[in-house]
Amino acid sequence: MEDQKNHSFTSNSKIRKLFRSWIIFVLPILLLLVLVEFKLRQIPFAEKVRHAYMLEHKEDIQVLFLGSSETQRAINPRYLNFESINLANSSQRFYEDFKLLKAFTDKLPNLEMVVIEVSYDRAHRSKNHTSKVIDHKNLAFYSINTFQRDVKFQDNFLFFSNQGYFSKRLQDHIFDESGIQLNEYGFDENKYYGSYQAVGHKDSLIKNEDIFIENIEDTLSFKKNFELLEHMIQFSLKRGLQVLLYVPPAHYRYQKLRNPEIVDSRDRLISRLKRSYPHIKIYRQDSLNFEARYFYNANHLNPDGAEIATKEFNKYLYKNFSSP
Amino acid sequence: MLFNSFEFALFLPIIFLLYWIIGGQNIRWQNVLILIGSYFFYGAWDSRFLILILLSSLIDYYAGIIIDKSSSHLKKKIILWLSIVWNLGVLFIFKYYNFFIESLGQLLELDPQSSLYTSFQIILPVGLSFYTFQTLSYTIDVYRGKIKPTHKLLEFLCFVSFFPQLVAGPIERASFLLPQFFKERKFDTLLAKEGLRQVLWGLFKKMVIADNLALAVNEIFANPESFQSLELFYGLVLFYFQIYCDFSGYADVAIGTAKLLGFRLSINFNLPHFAESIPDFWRKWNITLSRWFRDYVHIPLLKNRKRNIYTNSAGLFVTFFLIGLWHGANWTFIAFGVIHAAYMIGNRIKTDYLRANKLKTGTPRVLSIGITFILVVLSIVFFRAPTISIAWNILSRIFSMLPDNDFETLIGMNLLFLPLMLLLELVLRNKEYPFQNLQMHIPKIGRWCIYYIFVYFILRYGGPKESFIYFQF
Repeated sequence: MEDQKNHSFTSNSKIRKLFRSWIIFVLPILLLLVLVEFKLRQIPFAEKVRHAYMLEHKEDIQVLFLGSSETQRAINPRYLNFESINLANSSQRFYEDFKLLKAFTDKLPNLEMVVIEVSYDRAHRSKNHTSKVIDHKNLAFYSINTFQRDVKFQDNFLFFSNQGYFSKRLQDHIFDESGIQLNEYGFDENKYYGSYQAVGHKDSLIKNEDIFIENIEDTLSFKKNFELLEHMIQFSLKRGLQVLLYVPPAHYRYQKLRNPEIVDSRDRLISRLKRSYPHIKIYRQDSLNFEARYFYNANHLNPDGAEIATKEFNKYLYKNFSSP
Repeated sequence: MLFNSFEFALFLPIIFLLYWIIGGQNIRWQNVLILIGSYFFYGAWDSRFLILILLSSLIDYYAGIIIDKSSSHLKKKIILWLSIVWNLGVLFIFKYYNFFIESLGQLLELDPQSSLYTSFQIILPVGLSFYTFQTLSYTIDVYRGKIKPTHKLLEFLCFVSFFPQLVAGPIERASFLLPQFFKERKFDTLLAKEGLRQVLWGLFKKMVIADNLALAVNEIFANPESFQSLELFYGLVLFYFQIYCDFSGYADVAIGTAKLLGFRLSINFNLPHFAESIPDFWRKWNITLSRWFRDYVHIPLLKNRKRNIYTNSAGLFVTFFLIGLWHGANWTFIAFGVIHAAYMIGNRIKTDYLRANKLKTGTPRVLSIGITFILVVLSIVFFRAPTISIAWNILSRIFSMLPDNDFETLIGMNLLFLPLMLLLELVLRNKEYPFQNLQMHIPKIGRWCIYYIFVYFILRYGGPKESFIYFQF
């Protein structure tokens, strides 16, 4: 009995010793992680800036933009003559669009119009094609769950959601001040770098291999996305909102590389929606011939291109809508 | 609960402290805590499947006792078969039913609307193939008289559900793992430190290497038509290392976690990429699964049969066909198994020929390793591609030698972690894992620096969290 007690005492002291060492080892890591998370929360992420703007101007916002990075880069609300918020984001699909629409419509009492992007391949993309970073940002900055699953404990932390992305972002924030320059609307006015700038925007130097394009048809996703888009339109119309389907600009080289089947399916989708919902309007900027110098890559405008595209958008709205 | 999750990072220290402080030296209390911890760990995925694991455990527990008690050989056999039918039946329903029905429907050209052609929405319970094989081996070993059945239900339940190896192995034999639940387990600082080091090494392989390689692999396989021969082959090589680091990383965390609780688990990988032949590869890759099939399928198949090239080949074919099928209900996995059967048969024919003619293989070792590696890498296209036709398409693109002037690594400098791991594994190949017995060679301050560097790698360069590939099996 005595022996067992002694043994138990020795064993417990060994555990305590190991645990103490472990705590000493882990403590600096934990402190560092807390610091990293704290610093990350201080970075002015575009979503954070947009959300702050939206809350501040919720009584005034009339137009809400939804879409992917193509619309994100094409519309700079600074050049619009009415209050708007551009919630389009990289990797954002109709599913995330709808979640944002549902969450914010009621919070924007004077909202009059919803602009939904229907770019080339958007209806063919599934969740697999999106970066999970967007879900973590949606949760962290808009408190919206777009994971298509329940929120897990670790989702509440920015750093743990995607160490690679967020530590790079932190590194850039600390060491590379010239990187991102967000305006009050959360639009990056310094996003020039890309494959087009790398070749000095010289058309002759742009190679087809450098153009990233998704040409795979995904009929299952297309069907689901079509339904989602239709639900979004119905949701908006029911609330008395005007709906504008928007095709953002893309360089002619990108347009040449597109899969005609996907283009055709997208155009048929638009026509069908137009037939079913005659009040919706369609505005296509892919037919405007933007030169290479206005893009940072084949399907994303740089801030100079965005200025032109947004001003054109402004004109279109004034011409076609009594309000805004 | 994944090993690379936040939940597990909280769960493990809690279970560790409870186990050693409340459990103390009392084996029964320790086992109770293991069982509660294991069921909690498994239930975190889907608590409904706890019933299944409990039922499987009870059936095999009582099957073992009845087989041992029974004096009638026929009765023993009936009970054994009941256990086999239950285990394989569960596996069939959850894992293969839909595949079987759909394949049958296609074969008989049935109308997809036909009632005979009804597939179900079935969720595959995590780790089903692993624990089913573990319990199955217990009953078979009792029947063969290799082990005595246990009459302690608690320990048997722990053996089946032991959380470190429950969902992705190593598949342990009762003769090795079960007795450990009966032995007094004293806290051993050295073993616990070894455990922590092995967990760190496993997480590095999984989170830094496998999850980063996955980015490139996913990009290549999402759109193989956009990539040329060299890039596709590169994608396959990366995929090989992705599954190796994913699965062996899991095994390292499992073995390390078991060490924290005073248990030993079997090694599951032993540098398979340096195998000198395909049989050698299977002695080094998923070792516990290969041994399981050797002992419970291959040897019994050839038992009491005249051994010649035909019977040997047939035995190998059936065994590898089943190994392929074990991995998943898809023709691609079957094709993977069949290809390896062909490799094994070819190797057997070559070996027999050399032996008959008293010749020695003149192939230099490095060349043998290279050839084996290429053969394995080419075969895993069937492991990754969703259909056989896509796999063929990728292979035909690889062999068409399409030139590629814009080769890219797709994951930049993160690729460098792979040679770092290979170098460490190669130089320290006599160790179970590279950090083993580190305290014997490096002083504490140096060791801590190494640990901090690897923690930094995990935190800074860990790729987007991917689920463990072998969980789906």
